[in-house]
Amino acid sequence: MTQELELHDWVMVTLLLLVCILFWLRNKEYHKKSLEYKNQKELLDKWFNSSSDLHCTLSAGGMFTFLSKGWAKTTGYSLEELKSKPYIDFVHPQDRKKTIAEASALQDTNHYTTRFVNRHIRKDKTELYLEWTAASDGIQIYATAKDISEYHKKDIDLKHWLLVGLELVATTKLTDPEKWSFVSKGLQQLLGRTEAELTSRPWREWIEFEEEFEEEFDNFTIITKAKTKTKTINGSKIHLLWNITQDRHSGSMYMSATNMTEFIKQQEHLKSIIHELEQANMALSGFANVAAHQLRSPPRSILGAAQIIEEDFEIPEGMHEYIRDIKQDAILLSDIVDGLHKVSDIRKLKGLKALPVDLNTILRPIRITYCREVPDCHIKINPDLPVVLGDQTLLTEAFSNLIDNGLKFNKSIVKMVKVYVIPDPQNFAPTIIVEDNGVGIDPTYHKKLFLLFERLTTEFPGTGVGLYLTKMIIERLGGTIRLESEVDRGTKFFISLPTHKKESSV
Amino acid sequence: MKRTPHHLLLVEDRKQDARQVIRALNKLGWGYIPVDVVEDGVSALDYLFQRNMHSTAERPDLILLDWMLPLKNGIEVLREMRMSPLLTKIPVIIFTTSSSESDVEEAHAAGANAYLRKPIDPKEFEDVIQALGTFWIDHAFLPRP
Repeated sequence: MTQELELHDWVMVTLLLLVCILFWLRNKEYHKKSLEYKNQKELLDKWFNSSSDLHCTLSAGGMFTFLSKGWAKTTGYSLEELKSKPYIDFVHPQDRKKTIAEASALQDTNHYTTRFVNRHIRKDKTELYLEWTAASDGIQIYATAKDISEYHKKDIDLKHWLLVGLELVATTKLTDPEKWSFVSKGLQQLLGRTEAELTSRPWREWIEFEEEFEEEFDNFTIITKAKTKTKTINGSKIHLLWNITQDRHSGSMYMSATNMTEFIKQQEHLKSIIHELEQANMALSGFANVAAHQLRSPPRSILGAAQIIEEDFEIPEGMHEYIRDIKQDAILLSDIVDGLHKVSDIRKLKGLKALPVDLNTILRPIRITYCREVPDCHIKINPDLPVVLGDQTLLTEAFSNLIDNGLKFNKSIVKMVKVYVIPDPQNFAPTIIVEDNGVGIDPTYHKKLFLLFERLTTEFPGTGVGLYLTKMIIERLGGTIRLESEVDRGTKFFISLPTHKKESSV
Repeated sequence: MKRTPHHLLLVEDRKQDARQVIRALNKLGWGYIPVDVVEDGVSALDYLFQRNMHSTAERPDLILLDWMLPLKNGIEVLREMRMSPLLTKIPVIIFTTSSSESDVEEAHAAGANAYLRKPIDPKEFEDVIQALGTFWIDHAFLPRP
């Protein structure tokens, strides 16, 4: 009997033990789970409280049930104060209606709130703009808000600026891209109409498009540049250049313009001046053409006739002198016409090709030509003259004139002209010097020297074309010319011309 | 055997210049060759194409053509000549006051046989006529007009 009992007891003890172990095991599992849960809560708390976003839960009655710590900092109220009153009491009175509407929409558990913005009153009475994302499980609302007050402040500033400033800006709403929804003050003033007027009719009625260039910008926007012509209320014409940014999806636009009216006016003015100049130039070259062809013939005929008279007829006493006068002036006239012809020829040159020209090969023939005519010839040309960039014919003309002048305006017994070079250290633009021992020129007249038909003496024959031509040629070739001279001390011309070396190194 | 040219045409609007040329030719011994003078581009073409007033004109062996002419200028006359098979081979010497390079280029491109400038100096003028006559009248073999 006792043995049976003992057995029974044993069974009981074992069962009890088993129950204890199971209970312990279960307890342990529970403890582990609760620890995990605690860790998760801590993690969430940490996350909620360190995030710059504002997290909260709201009861169906509209009271905060949970608030992350950021709320206190952002609103100025303590968390206890926030939990003590319904949320709606903190909302800006003007935004309460839409806030309640959004909250009731959230009763449908399929509704998600995104980008919902409403205003609140901080403890210091300033406005707080929050942008919300929220969802509900039918019992509570789980919501996250972002403080966008700064954005809003900037937005207000920009709008304010457009309302007072003179910027030319207009926008359209996605609901009606044909009409402006906002017109800046500047644009209102420019078009001479009120915003109400300008927003009442399609904007294409206010501005007439002349040209449009579309530039695809990215996936979201299209940017178009457009030129428009507009008549204002008082009838004056305005030219605007627009930058139109269009949202691809909604079609709403941001349009800003630059006023080109003055610019275009100036451009037109310039065009008319250019036209006038072209006309004048054409008349001039027409004159030059006449000079080149028509004016050349008469002096030749005069000379020819004088010659025939001398050859074929018996000349009475005293008439030879007059025939000589006729011939001299006919020659002078023909020289002037020749000079004019050269000037007009050089003027006409377009797209002159600068080729390497060895000055030695130009000056030697000039020397030979002059020395053939003058028995006691003293033209000295240094053999180390550089190669310059230019045109052989033109440079021959330019240097001939200088040498000719040096010999012509010269009363020395031995008339001398020297041509030599001062090398430039970099050899970009060596200076060529044409020096004579002639009568020299008073510095007072140096400026006049290079003018067309300007003659500084009647003692020597001349037309006043030579130096003008020389300067024109040197400058056309990209060079410079200046002189040093005094009366009775001779003259030095300093000429610098672009060299071959410079060109090849550029 | 070289054929002696028997007829020159001078296209020259200035009587003085025409006289000077003819005088020089006479003086230099070529007075035996008849020279006809026409004074503008249209008359020159009429003469060459034997039209209108010039329907009985004889085709010349050699033409001295001025550049600046009334109605049609030298280059126009030359171009029309060179387009016609009848006139394309007649030697044409441009004889003008202009020495501009572009005129020289243009004249040769249009088919001129030579380009001479009228010198200012009467002596040089004669020299040019002398050279011209020696070459084109005395030595050159000219095609049949």
